[in-house]
Amino acid sequence: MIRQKLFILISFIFGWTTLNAVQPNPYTQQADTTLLLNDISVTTQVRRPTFIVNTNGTIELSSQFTADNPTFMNSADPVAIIRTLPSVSTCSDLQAAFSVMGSTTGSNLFLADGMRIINPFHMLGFFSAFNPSYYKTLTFNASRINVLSANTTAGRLEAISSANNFDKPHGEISLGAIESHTAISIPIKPIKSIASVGFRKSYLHLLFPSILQFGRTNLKYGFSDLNIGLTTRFTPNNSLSFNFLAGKDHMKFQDLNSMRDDGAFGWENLSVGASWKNGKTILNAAYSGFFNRFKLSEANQKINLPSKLSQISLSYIRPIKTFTIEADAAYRYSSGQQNIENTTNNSTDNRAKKSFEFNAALLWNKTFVDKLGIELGARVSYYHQNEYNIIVPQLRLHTHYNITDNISFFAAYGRYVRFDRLVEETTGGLPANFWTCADKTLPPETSDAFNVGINIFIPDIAIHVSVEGYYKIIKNSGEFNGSILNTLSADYNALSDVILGDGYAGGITFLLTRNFGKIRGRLSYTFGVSKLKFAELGKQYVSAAGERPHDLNLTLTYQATEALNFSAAFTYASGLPYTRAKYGYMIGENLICEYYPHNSSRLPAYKRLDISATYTFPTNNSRNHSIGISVYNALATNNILFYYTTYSFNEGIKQRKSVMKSVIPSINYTFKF
Amino acid sequence: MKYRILPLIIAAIIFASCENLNDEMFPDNELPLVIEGWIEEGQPPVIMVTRAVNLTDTLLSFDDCVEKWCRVSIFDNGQQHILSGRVDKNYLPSFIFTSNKIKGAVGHVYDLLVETEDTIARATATMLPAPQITSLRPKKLENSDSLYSITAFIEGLNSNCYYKFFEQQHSKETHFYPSFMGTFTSDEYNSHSGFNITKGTRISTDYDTPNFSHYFNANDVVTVKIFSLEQPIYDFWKTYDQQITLTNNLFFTFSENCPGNISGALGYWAAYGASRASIRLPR
Repeated sequence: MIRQKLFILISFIFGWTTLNAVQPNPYTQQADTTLLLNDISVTTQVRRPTFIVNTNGTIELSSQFTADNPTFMNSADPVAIIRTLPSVSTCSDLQAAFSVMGSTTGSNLFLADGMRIINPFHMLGFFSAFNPSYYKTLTFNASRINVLSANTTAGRLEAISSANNFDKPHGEISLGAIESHTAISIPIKPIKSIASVGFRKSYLHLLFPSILQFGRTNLKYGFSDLNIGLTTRFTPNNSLSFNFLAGKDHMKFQDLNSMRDDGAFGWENLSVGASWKNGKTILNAAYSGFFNRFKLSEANQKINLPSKLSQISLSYIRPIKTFTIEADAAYRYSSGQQNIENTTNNSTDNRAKKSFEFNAALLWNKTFVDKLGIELGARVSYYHQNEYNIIVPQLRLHTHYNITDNISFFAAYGRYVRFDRLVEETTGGLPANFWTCADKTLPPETSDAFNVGINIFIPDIAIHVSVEGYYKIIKNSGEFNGSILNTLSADYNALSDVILGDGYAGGITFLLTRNFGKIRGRLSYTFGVSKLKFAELGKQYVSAAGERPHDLNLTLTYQATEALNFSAAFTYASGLPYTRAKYGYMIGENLICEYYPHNSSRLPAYKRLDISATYTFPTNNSRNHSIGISVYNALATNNILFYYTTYSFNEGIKQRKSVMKSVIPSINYTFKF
Repeated sequence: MKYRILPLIIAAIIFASCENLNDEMFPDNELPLVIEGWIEEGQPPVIMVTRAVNLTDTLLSFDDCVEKWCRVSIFDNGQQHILSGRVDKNYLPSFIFTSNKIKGAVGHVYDLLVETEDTIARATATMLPAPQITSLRPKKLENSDSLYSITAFIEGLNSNCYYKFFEQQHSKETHFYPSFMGTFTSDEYNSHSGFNITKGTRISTDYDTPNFSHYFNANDVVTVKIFSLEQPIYDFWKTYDQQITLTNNLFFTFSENCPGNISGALGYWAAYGASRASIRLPR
């Protein structure tokens, strides 16, 4: 039995003389004496849980949790932590991808303070758009998403800035070797408000110019993010928030052969939203925009592929007794994609699509005898795009049963749909990928998901165990089966090369966490398969692009002293599927390859060890400084990004592999106040 | 006790899922025959017969991949011509099958028959009329004094037809090579801006070195040919262009097989209607 010393200091703010004057037992106060208790603060020396697994499947992470875990360059990026959880595939180096239970990146829903973030990943996948200083909490659902949420067929991730300290200014500044971020919140007491601002910038090539050199290719890359928020609390239960997020990525793609032309890529996120909360009633309005820039040229062959997706959305949630009603609507504009180098008017207006989506949902939630919880929801979606109209009902049933206080069993079924589609023309999520609206030729993606599992808490050792089995039936999953070079032709529309497949994803996940004590950490393992069948690729199932049958993540943190902690994170995951070359032959004095069937081979397993140490300088006030050092890929494992074959007179036929440069050390300084 | 079952379940899954995706589905056997062959309008045929290399082997080499001991025949509108093999160092590989008794003519149907010890390969090609190159104009590369591409203007294109440019830079090359991304349809040709021609990549150039350039040098004499293609040959060259451009690229992987038109072998057999023009680039 772990003994915990719990010290509770209760302090009263705005003390009252009445209490001081009367006898100390408040329970004997006369009924006509009113005590006004304005505020209570409770402090404890027990570590606040910063990683919570709820019985409904929602995982909550605090920014303190991400700061305690090793992340790339000590950036404390929260999505890097999410990627170590079960159900989320390990991301290869340079891949701005997010695969949940075998899904594609475009199947997920990303939100920040109620606003949709269309693409929350910065290029190359090292960082997300969620400034860890600005966003204090992340919630994540890999499954069992209830009907009140906007549509998604995979995971749901929301970052919440949680401006709630109305007493004094507070914030954080973190300076690192390739990335820095900051956030400051300032109370405006006369109007009971908090104004917040956050900023983040990367400068990858300044200190590590060789990180992004691969064979003949050199990349120069950077990004910046800006967050602004204003929250006004009229009463403790009534608040109005305005939020703003803007981010920009830019990359130059240069062949080290000085005679070859460059490419220039980039994208921008812009989200603006307002949220009114009155108790549990919530009204949200938001604009979300995502803009791609993609330019590539070689030997006077030029590709210029701008694209964008804009969305205006409105949602309303209101609980009524055991029911909750929800309604939301979204209008989307997708520019489509066309090589504007070859068009006469430099625009893609003839590829644009507009769509409208309306959803209504009803959720019933009831717990019986404190043991059996049932959440039954129905969501009906109406979608319109040009002449295409469709109504999609979605039924979801989530149940959990408390076998004991520490053991609960859950089972769930849900039907999911999404109406906007991401066309991925590149691996790694480069800006040649673009969003479009579903229509008759590219219908909405749907999934039917079944989940069963068990949650166990072992109080003696403060360990939480979660095991979940899942099976999803997927329809209309899309994959791009063409080539980026086809866009050299002005008439080419990449949508003509999107093939649709049906398939399934299934597996079992295991999560063990310990969030208290000197030794903390988690072990996460997923065994999962994801298969799709495309008519264009034959009769057999092929592995989905993000399938990793085995995915293991182990993170340990050792709190050596109050001020010093050490962390290590080890990742082992099956390699991603790829299409291997079987034969090579000469045509036109070039090596041409004949390939095995699509995605029928697998890269070697991905392995990586990251280590970090953080020292927090002792302080007697609320300000603290800390310094952290980290080593990314401490074992210098050469994780293979892809294979290719070359032929030259000097070297003959060579099998080559592309790997990211190995060990990356970093140091960062953080100041919190 | 109730917590101990979980590791056993996990171990069972791990041991049950170890498999190699390839071994049972694609056993290694004899190497495919590869044919690169064409007959051009007014020119004798050129056929190169080789074997592919198994890229899963440990030792990889194109040495000994040339098939010299095979019988190569062309049927010109039904009349058989047996080709003889000889060394011609202008080509790679340098062993070709050809015959001076047959020259390409528009409208003729040419059947190819290649017979080796264990393989028979067949293909058919019809020679279509070629458009005419009306002019060639040099286009200087930005920020360069000595590098040029060439813009070709064409007339006589038929709708829904397919074409390909080849080029020969006389100071460096002994025969014609496919130009860079030079395969197109008649719908893709813009009569106002013409078609831009640059050098393609191949191992006999400095492609893999910092000195490589897609552009022609000042004062060079360059001859440009335009070939008319049948659709299967267009499909082959289109995929070929993309494969050699993207195959080494980390972010734009391309792993599509070149769709040949030969039964029993990889590669292609084409009959090209052709027209040509030359230009000397400015000093």
